[in-house]
Amino acid sequence: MERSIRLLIFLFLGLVVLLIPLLTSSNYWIYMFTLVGIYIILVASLDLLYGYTGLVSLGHGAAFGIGAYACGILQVKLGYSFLPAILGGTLFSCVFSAIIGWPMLRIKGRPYFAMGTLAMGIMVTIVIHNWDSLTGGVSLAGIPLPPTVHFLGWTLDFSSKRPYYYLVFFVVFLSIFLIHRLNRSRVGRAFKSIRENADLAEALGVNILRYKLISYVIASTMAAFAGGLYACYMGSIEPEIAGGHMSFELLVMIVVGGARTITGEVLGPLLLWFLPEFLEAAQVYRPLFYGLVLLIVIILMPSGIAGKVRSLHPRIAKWIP
Amino acid sequence: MDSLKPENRSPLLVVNKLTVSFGRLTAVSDLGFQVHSREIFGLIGPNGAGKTTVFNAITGTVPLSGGGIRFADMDITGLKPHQITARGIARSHQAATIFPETPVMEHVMTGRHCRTETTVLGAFLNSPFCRKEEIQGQGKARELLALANLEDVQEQPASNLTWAQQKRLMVATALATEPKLILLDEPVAGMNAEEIQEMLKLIATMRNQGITVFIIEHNMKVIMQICDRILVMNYGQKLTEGNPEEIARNPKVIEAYLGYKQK
Repeated sequence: MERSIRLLIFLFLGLVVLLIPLLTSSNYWIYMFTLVGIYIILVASLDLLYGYTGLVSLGHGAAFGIGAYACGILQVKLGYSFLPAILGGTLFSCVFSAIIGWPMLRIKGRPYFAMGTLAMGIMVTIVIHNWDSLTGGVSLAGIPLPPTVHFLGWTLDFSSKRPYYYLVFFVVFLSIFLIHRLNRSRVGRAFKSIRENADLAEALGVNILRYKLISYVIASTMAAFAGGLYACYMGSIEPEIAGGHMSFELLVMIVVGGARTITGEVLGPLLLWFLPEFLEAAQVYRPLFYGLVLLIVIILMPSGIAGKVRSLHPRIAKWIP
Repeated sequence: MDSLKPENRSPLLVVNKLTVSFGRLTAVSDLGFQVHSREIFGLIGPNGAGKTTVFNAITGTVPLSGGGIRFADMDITGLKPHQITARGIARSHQAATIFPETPVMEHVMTGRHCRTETTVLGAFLNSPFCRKEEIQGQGKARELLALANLEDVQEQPASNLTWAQQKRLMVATALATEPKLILLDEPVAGMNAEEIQEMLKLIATMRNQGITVFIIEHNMKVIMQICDRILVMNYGQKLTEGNPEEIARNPKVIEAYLGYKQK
């Protein structure tokens, strides 16, 4: 029953995603939704880390930035093409997060990890800013779009906006699907056990350091892939994408949307990135909007919007994955 | 019948000259004892005698200041808690130590972590091995839930359960690790007579399945009723050791619990 409901919701969402480009001819909208998709990947991967494993990362943007820059540098400076560049960049971020995550997670207690990731975000931004010869300093420009693909008589020309939109949302669905599978498995139970009661988890034989690290590496790897997609889409990237502001926004999105729910992972970016883009006239008030929304949600619905709606009735909860 | 006498059984757990200090306070000093295979071994003593600290030392949650612990002929001194669990020692805590938001069924499944092997990749692909393990795990978890009389609440988050149910859930989750030895820290504390009977039934089942039980309990009636042998601690040291009749008669034990006899 619950399984078929879930399938139904997924099919519906898939349909919506497929239809959006057909309903509008404006490239602006496609551009906006593509970026929403990239944000969803980021927030979903952060949810794995924050929502399930209970690790507060204040540097998730760093993984995104590293992935974006690694992918960009591989193409612009080293001449690789799209696929090896994005995969190489993701692999680099995967290895990097494993190396940097180990010492940060070894110390028990959450504040240390939060502080460590915060510091890392700052350091990554500074390094990108100052390593001009490699990163282009204030911005790395000239990152090409993926080459045109011919496949079974189809031609995917990424210079028009739509194919890239579909590519991004394919990755969105794949990430959410993989995270969902993981969380239902033995590995996901280990993640959740660490958040709920680390001492008991350890007493039941969960190697806490190992599973925290696995969670961190997977989340960082997914964020890095999103970074690669972002870099190729935008064509030029700035160091700020790895910074504290970005990381903070992502954390707010998952807290407001509702941790441990797919709905929350989608709602966060829609509400806090997509919506504020329309407050264009009032860009200066954006931080105020953020603060206000965060405050209201934390006071009135500590488990986020999706969490609040789910808690109304078990029957409703079934429809809010 | 001889083979059932404690002396003829092999020691499963050997604690040798165990000392645990917190700064200047010595919680356990120079404590030595053995728990034999398939027995129910009790640990009693006044509050603050260091009983729970002994459990913490065995499960690796506090560092030892001296001495050593052997389990199933292997030295487990200094191992991490999760490694000790993997070797076959499980534990249920005194206070409700649970995963509050986790549904009961999943709660017990979490206990199977160290007996399962599904990796990240296996979970991503939902491999046949992963599915097989999951189905097996659910089967085992259902057995344990039936044993602990928690079938009716298996969909509930653990925090919704009554105190006695939570205690049984802790035991069921500990049993999911497939232990050779289970440490029960005051399993019947705060329970009414009926709930106590239910817990005792659970303990009897464990023993019939060949699990060795090491139990801390303040309820003397329960201890005297179920234990084969009892260790009495006071001020972090061994006061005496023996079968329930010997313990009940021992003047030193009476003194420790009730104070000096008036002359």
